[in-house]
Amino acid sequence: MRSILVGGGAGLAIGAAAVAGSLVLPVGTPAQPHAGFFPLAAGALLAVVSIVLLVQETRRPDSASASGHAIAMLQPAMVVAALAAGSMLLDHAGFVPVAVLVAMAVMRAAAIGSWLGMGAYCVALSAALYLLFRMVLGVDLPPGPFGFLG
Amino acid sequence: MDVLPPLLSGLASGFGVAFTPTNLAYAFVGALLGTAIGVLPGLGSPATIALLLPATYAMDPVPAVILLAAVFHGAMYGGSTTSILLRIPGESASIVTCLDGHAMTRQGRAGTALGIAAISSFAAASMSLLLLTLVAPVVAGFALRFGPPEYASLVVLGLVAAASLSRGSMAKGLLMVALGILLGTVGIDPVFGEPRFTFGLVYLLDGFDFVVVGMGLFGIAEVLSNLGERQAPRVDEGAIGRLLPSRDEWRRCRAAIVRGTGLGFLVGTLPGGGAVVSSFLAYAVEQRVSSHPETFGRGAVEGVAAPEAANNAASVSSFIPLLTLGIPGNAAIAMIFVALMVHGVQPGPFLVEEHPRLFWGVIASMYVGNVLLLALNLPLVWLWVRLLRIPYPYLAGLVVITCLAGAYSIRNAAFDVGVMAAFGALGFLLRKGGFPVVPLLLALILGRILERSFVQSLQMSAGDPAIFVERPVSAVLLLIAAVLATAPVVRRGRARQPTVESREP
Repeated sequence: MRSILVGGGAGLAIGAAAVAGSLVLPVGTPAQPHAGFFPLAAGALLAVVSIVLLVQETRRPDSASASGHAIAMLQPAMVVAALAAGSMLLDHAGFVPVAVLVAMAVMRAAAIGSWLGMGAYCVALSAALYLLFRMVLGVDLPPGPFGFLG
Repeated sequence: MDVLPPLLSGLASGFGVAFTPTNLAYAFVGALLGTAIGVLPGLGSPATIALLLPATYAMDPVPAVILLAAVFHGAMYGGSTTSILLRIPGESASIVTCLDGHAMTRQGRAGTALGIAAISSFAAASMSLLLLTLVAPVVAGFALRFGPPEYASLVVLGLVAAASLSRGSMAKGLLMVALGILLGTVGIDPVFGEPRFTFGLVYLLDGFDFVVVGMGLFGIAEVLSNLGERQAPRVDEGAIGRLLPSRDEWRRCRAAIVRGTGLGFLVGTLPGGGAVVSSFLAYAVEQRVSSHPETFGRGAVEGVAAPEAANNAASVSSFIPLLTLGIPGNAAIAMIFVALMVHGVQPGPFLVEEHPRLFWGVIASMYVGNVLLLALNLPLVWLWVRLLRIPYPYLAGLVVITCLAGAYSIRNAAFDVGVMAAFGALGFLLRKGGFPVVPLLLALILGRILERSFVQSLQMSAGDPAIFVERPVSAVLLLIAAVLATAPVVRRGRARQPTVESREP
């Protein structure tokens, strides 16, 4: 299946990069390992297992014909992008506006009905969570424009 | 029998802890929340525990762990309700309950199926709790003799077992283990204090936070996987009928419950084993020993009793390696391991001596929680079924922004939200590609223990790696790991060997 080839290929690339990266560190010897030894071993293990997986996959009789099915990526990508944007805005805009943005992206991706109902739910939910975390649980969240709430 | 008096006095002190109003309240809330989570598809117990972790920071460790343990057990109970009524497993451990449980519903025996599931879960959890009470202090006492080589070998065994027992091929499991160990090396090296793979980012000096990774891999990835797929199920609230099984049904269930409990208890103690594997195994065993195997899948009461007993027994016994060895065996237990660490409690053989209130309090609260769950489940079936009417997008929004708040609150760093999003995307892609995620999280946590134990062992032996095979316990653990790792290759080799009949002309 295509996903195994992609996964194996990615594993091989990450393993090789980790091996290269750990060689920059002092490695030591198997009897006297240093900081780079463990990442080197883990990277090498990752690369070897990835090669085994790729070989297994290419030897499978049905692997040539199997194309694999495409994964619907747009909706998940939308949510991940909203979270990534949220992580950059969080300290400046505050929790509630960012949470509203992220929650609306999630609900839009999950194909909910009206914008109005969705917006109202997201605002209420974000404000409620902010109050719960900050007031009840005593956990600091960036206040942004809601700093007056304490 | 000189072990019994300290054991009973420990348990008695544990009940003293569990019966305080605060701890009873947390056990109740955890059981209620856990059942709701178990009922709702698309939100598992590891994700919920990860979500709740930030909320426990201000709490004492004892009520915090009581709450999280109750959520975990509640999810096992709740998962069966929707499996039986709607053929929608709320938890992976209840998938196999769908087969006969829903068949019974279609035959108008939904009440009996729910009753059998509840009774089996209660009986299995009760028997397993007794075993846990007896076994845990003994294992902890034995583990006190473990040194770094034994710990290193135990972690190796745990990781190999997690790779081999998880879904998918052994190679995929090992790939996830290697990736987890590698990701666990990010940050300052625990032995030499050297920064590794931090790319100059101060936030990476402490490595990836387990809670953030857990929220990403289980909370966010779960939502991403369900986007656009989850429709509110049609809930048919037809007659549930009589809850208690008939005398004949009860007679058929009894042995299935005992077998399921035994199997579940054993499998639950294995890393990577847990509730899902045990429920499938128990179903297969029950079908094999049954004198009417043809009734399985068509409403056999044993097909409900055995897997439900097994998954509940496994959820109890999976606490043994955590509390006694400090080794988490599955994702939910890994999150409880993280909770203990966050509260400054090191799980392991010293736990019973250093934190007896916590050790015995948590065990006693499981007894209390088990009774609470039985009392909550059957009378509130109507509520659990109605929960399924909540449209999934509303639930998804709640999960994602709770994760957002939780990830940020760990060290007031927006960077962690980005890390959570990245692990969410990784978890989503891995699931879609059929790669098991649990070994990755376990390896991320256990990799650091492995590295420390490995280096300490070599320091003990002046660099001689023979220390791992010269010490008997370590050697046995490594031997079991080697057998587990090579078993798929041996099996494949045997399968390829032509049989005598096929070679004959």
